[in-house]
Amino acid sequence: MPQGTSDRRHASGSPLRGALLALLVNEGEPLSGYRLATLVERRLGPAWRVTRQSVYGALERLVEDGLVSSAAKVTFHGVAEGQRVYSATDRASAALEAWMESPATREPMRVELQARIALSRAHDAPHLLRALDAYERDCFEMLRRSSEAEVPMGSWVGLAMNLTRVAVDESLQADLRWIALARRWIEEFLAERSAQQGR
Amino acid sequence: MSLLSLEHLTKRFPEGRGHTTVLEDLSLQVDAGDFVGIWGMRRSGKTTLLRVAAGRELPDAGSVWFDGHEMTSMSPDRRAALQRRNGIGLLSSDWRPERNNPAVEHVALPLLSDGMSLHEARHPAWKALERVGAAQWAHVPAARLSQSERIRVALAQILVHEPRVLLVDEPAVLPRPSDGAELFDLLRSLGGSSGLAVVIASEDIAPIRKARRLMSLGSGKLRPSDERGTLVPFPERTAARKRSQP
Repeated sequence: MPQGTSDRRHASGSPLRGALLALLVNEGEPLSGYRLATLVERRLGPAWRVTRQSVYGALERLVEDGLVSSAAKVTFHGVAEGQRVYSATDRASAALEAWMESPATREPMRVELQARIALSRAHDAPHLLRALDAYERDCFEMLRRSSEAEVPMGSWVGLAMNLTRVAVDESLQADLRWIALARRWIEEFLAERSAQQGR
Repeated sequence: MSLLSLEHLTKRFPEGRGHTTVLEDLSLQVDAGDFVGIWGMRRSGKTTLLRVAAGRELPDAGSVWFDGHEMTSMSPDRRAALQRRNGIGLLSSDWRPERNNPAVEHVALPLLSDGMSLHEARHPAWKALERVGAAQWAHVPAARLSQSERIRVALAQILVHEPRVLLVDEPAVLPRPSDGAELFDLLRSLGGSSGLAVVIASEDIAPIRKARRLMSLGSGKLRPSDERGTLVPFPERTAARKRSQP
């Protein structure tokens, strides 16, 4: 398989993988897993809910694919115990370029509540109304957390981070509208049914 | 006791042969320095809620209390007085200024009804314009102000009465997102140390994103976002928990 094709394949995968690769290539210096997790959380925003575990998992796969190398951290006094740092390999830049160039596709929608509604029966309606309330509170919590991550425009990084935040905003706005609509339809259905039973 | 308290409000409007219930047994408490964001779809009752809270409309049931006084049982004159001095200000997007009057006069004019002369009213009017960052447009006729500049002058016109509660209805009607961001930051900064309570109702989440308390309005009810523990767990999980209990 030609090297380019292989890098394109390696570049695809989770957005977290691409983000870690981009950070290592762009920072140009070895970074610890902890530092990478902090940076990736800052750049993707709190709505991504990046966990340390997922960062280490993605780093391991990048190492297996030969796009990232890992080594024990060397301090002024020698090798630091237990600490590992990660660096981009020679193939990382081409893989990053391939990720940036690759066509973007819509992620599948896998909101658990939507699945619950899709498979629900009429007598589940009161449970679903309460679940909608909880989902709405979760949306507000995400809005609050993404508001904390605001950065000024003026630089490319500022523009990129604001675009990421606006994407979250738009998605939350759509979710809130959907919740309001779902609530209204379910309540109207219940009111109609109770009126029919009363006749 | 809360500064502004809405107790079990119900408000209906006639529709066809029946009526539509816009607010149903709705309650809300607002404290001094509070910053409340209310999100709601179009026609969810946001404007009605704010108008009732400001004393501009009466509810069909329930009561509105401001600073320990029941507004809903006050005479219309006393209710109107609350909108003039240290009371409740309502900023709505339908503010239409006189085209040729300069901004400072727009802000000063409401003080004339408090018995001030135009000369006396100019000083607090300037102060209010400064507070909203609009002093530079003090002598500009309203017709020459942009939409976001007009909103600031309208805000100054309310702040000149030094209200303790500021209600803002749909501030998201601004031409540029940057104007909106500045206005929303201004609204947030108005509260805080001054003790002014701010309540913003909007269909857009941008104006309310930094609110201390967020809630949604729909089907006549307010749903606070800080209430926990109503999510019903999976039946299997509930059953498993029950089984594990002695």
